[in-house]
Amino acid sequence: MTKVRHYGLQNPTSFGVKGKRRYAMVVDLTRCTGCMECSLACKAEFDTPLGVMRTWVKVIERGQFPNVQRRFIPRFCNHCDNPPCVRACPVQATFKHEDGYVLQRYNRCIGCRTCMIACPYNARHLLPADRSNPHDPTRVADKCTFCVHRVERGLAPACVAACTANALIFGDINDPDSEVAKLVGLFPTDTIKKDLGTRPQVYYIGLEDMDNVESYHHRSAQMKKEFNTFKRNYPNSHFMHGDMLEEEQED
Amino acid sequence: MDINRRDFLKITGAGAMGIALSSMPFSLRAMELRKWGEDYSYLSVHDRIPFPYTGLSGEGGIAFVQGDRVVKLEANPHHVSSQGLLSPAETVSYLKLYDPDRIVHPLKRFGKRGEGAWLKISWQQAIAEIGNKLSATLDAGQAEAIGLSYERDFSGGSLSRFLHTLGSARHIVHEEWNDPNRARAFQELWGENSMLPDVKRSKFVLNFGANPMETDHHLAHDLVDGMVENKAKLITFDVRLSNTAARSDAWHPILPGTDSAVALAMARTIMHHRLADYGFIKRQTNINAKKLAQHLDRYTPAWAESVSGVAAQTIENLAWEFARSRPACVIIGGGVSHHQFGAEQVRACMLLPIITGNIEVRGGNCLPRRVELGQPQPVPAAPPPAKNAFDAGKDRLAMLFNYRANPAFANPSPDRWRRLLQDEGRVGTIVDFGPYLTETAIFADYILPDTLALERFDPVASEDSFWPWLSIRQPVISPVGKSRDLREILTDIINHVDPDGKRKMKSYWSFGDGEAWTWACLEASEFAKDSNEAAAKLKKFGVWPVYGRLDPVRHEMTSFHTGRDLEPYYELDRKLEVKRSGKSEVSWPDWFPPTPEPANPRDGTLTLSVYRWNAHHRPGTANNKYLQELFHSNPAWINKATARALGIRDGGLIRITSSIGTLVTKARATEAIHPNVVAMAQGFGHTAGGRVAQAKPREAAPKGNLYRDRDIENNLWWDDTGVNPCEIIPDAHDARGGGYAWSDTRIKVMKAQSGDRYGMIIRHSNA
Amino acid sequence: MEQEIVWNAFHNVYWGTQISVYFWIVGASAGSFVISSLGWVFGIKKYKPVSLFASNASIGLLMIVPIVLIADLGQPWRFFHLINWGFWHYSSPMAWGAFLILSYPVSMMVYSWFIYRKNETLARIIGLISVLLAVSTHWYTGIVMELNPNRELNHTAMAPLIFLTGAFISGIGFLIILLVIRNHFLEPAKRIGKDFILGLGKMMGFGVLFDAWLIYCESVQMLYGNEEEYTTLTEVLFGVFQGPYLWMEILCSLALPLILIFSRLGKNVWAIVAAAILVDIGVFGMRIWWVKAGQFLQTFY
Repeated sequence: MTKVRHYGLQNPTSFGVKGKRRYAMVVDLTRCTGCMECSLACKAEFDTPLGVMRTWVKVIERGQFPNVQRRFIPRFCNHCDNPPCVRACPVQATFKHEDGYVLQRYNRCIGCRTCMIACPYNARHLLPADRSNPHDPTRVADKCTFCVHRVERGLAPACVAACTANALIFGDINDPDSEVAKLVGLFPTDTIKKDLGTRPQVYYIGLEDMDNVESYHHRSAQMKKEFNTFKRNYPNSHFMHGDMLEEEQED
Repeated sequence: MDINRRDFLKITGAGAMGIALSSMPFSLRAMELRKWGEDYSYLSVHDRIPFPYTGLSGEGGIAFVQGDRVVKLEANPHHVSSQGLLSPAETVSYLKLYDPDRIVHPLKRFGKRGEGAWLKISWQQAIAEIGNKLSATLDAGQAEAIGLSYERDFSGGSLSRFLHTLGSARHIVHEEWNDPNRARAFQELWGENSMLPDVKRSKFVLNFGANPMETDHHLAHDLVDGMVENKAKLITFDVRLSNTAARSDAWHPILPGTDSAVALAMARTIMHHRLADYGFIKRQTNINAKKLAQHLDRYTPAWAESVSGVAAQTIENLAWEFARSRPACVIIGGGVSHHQFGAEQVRACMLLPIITGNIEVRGGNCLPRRVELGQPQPVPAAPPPAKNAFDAGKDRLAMLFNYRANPAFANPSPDRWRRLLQDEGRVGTIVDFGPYLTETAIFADYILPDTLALERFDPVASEDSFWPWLSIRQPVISPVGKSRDLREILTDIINHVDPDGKRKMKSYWSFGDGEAWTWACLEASEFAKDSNEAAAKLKKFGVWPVYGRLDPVRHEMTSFHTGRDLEPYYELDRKLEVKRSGKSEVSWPDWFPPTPEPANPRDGTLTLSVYRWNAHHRPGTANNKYLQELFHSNPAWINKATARALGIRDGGLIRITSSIGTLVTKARATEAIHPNVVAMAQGFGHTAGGRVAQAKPREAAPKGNLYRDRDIENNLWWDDTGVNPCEIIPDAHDARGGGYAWSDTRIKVMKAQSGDRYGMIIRHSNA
Repeated sequence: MEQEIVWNAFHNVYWGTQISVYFWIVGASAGSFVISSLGWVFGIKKYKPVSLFASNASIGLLMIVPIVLIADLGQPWRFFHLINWGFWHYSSPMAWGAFLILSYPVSMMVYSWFIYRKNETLARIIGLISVLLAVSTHWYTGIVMELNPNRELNHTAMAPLIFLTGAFISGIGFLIILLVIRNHFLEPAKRIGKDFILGLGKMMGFGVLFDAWLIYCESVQMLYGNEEEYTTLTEVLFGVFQGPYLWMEILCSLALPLILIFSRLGKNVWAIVAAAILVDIGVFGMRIWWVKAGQFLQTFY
């Protein structure tokens, strides 16, 4: 096993360390039906506001009629063993838990969004100022937590419990008896952008290559329009106001 | 991969796990995480109390209540057909309770009909006024002109009872929850309304136009199990690449409405090559194999290729494979039944499992295990049914009660409904039961908000499970605002109409409240009659009986005693009548050409096919912020080659013209659709029904609402809600099934002209 | 192969115009401070008369910085978390930056004070520290963007240098404009001479030349680079970010000023002022494309 890099105050990884837990997720793409239940279960669990997603499903179509494929790729925070967001945070608001989670301290976060710049997976977002429940955190960075509040009480994460196709498997990868350890041991698994050295801990069975440029080049016209609407209307932009609208063709 | 996940776990895990589970403390166990039954807030330490409930679609779930609010829904692990999952729309359906657009106060219209001016009134006033109008109608001898419009009676029959009590049989049943064409075909075949494909245990699944991965997630779960664990092959015939087609081993794009040609040619191949199960045919059907072979002889694969566009060789190969794979089954969806000869087509497709003996066997096509609910006595006799089905273009009504249906939006040619509802001369009084101001409800004279799924009692019985069950929909919170139980509203109305019992109506409505009604219905059910434990179990677990334990790793119901997976019990207790003479004559399954003349992609003469999109697979999701965020618009799918020939750009505006109207929408040029077809999703393009549904979050709240959601008001970012394809679908029926021919619309597609705006709808004068 | 993304979650460009504005201000401030330091720290007599003014201009610019930065935070009232020692995270360039941004104006103020009191020794010592802080303040902004391995545009060791050069030229440009305006309010005897302005212009010209070379190096690397770098250059910089990149940066801050300064026009003060204005606009454009285009590709990922 290659040595994991460490920066800053992040905890040493517990991956492969005997007697310690390292939670990981396996996504079985041979089972995923693209129903987006994981996104919705996550939204319901955290009352996630509109416009941001902790968990989402990327849908890709490829091929030419009639040989067309559609692929679904559920996306989560990868809870990297070498998380770029943790080392970038100036106030230690995000940190690596000993059991493998990358977590966020809402009350410490200043909302500088450095972690979002650092994350190669777009797994982080800034919560908007308005929430359904006014007691929920606002205007701080947020991310998938692997449902730490559930896992610590012996419950599987919300998306895993809700998955309609039983395609998400979660568990302690250090435990050789656990389902995830067995799956990762037996099947050819892949992680997203492993060349970045982040050591992601969400393993995909049956993943095909995907990266930024591919995603950028192959947006459908509908997606471009939707994205422009999002940039125009989403209130976060009033203090981010960062994005460029792309060319919209006139009809 | 030869070894699959489940096998592997069975081999390596099962033995060791049995010991581990019993002897080790929890923290040391592998696969230790539980999935259901508890829930915690990620921010606070409040208790979340679980209550079993049943959703509108019959899915068994658990609702978690924190304080007095429902905060989360998840699957009910005791429920035999839950498999530990809720469908996506059900998972977030609790938002409906606190929807800022939900009407929770009785409203009365003032001003003109459809103007949208409402007055809050008390329940007493509403019931008195409606009761007086009903009395007047009854006194005028117009009882038959009282109509009841609904999708499905979720209350265990109280709606029908209400109508029958008043002496009317004018049921106006809409189709969003139902498929009458398919129901008719199965009714003729085996006397039940539906069919249960045992895809989990099958080896070869032939999918004709069904899309369970977007519309039926429980079946999809079984299908995935079958494909991954059982190595079943899934072959899909569909005009577009649905999610199911995408996950199939092969997708055969097919001309719309020609699935039966393929099925008949396959049946011919099977009969021709003597691949059929002759023993089964002789034993369990009334088919004469020789005569059937003769009948099918003209349906050669070459002919089928010319009709459907599926290669003759493919048809032949699939026929061989279907006959040789045992068990095999077919699943049949709207792609087959939503046509002018939908019922006929379903029958033709069902021929395949019948001649190969795959009926009511492990992994084949099975009969539904249905449980009938009873009714509290006495039951009002049903008046003789109306001669003709209700025609929104011609008929008149004295009063119309609309229960959760939205014909002015969701029916083909909804403009006819709008004109009907608008006209006070044609419909005297309209009463709507809420909870949203839908396209139909805006024409109402009274809105009487009744309670939603998590606030009310209802009896529920299984319809499509291998293990029959009964369950109750029970309230987990008290009704929001002033909304009331349906049974109480109806009882009050009847009591007002018949205060002293002179009209002989009161006796039918003396069962008490919704809870009493529910228990009475359950107790009157044959299924639960002799059981003492039913009531207690129902209250505690939400379902009865509890068949076993849900394995959290494999999502499989296992027996309490053996620990093995539950196995269904198969028994075919009747003879299948494929052909029948006499009074209810049924001929051989035959080929009926789809009505529209052949399409021509070069000049834009195509067929419009409608479908339901994932997360919006059933009505009532339009105002759900999370579901709308996922899918809020329905660009028209058009094949890239066709689009190129017509000069249409991906994302550009197009004009779609049918015989009754024209709409302007965006094109989605894609490879994932047949070149002769344009597909649009139903359920989009709302012009009423809530602020989320219309993407107008900053408009004023409707009168009679209660809550606010700052998230919706400030963060709702999309402004495109799609275009309603139903506007240009003519009101055509399948003569046999009685259902609409949704996907038989001949259209002309062209680039948008100058002056066309997105979402524009032009109605032709002849409509 | 034909491929299409049909559904995905959307993501913002998280650092936007406000951050670009901040980068520009910090840069102009550092540049103008370097000019100030030439006289008192490095002992070039010619620059002594403008030192105090340049230093004060630099402080004035820096006063805007906290407002811009803190307003841009999601939780502006928590900005003090950055200077809370218990929260300090040494691996984060931002954490260092917070201290630099705070200490740099303070040291400049002290420096200005000593110039005002004509205390040569102390001014030199404090000035030296301030120059180091000025350079680091800008250096770190480059580092913040640079240490994100997934943002191919920013992920280059050249980043701080490009930033610094931009800072230098925009600072001089800013100073030139201020000095010319200032001359209007002064009696003729105290006015800054034409030669001085022309000298500053020349210095800016060489900076622009160096900047052009750096941009060239960077662009060539992207042109010959991996798919993402290539796409960033050809589609994002020449496409979506054409305005800031091609027109503002390449044309306004590189091509036109070079012509203005090194042609015969360069003898005219107003040509130098025009060049200064162009450079300042162009460097602002560079800040925009540098910040946003780096994130742009990934917003749809």
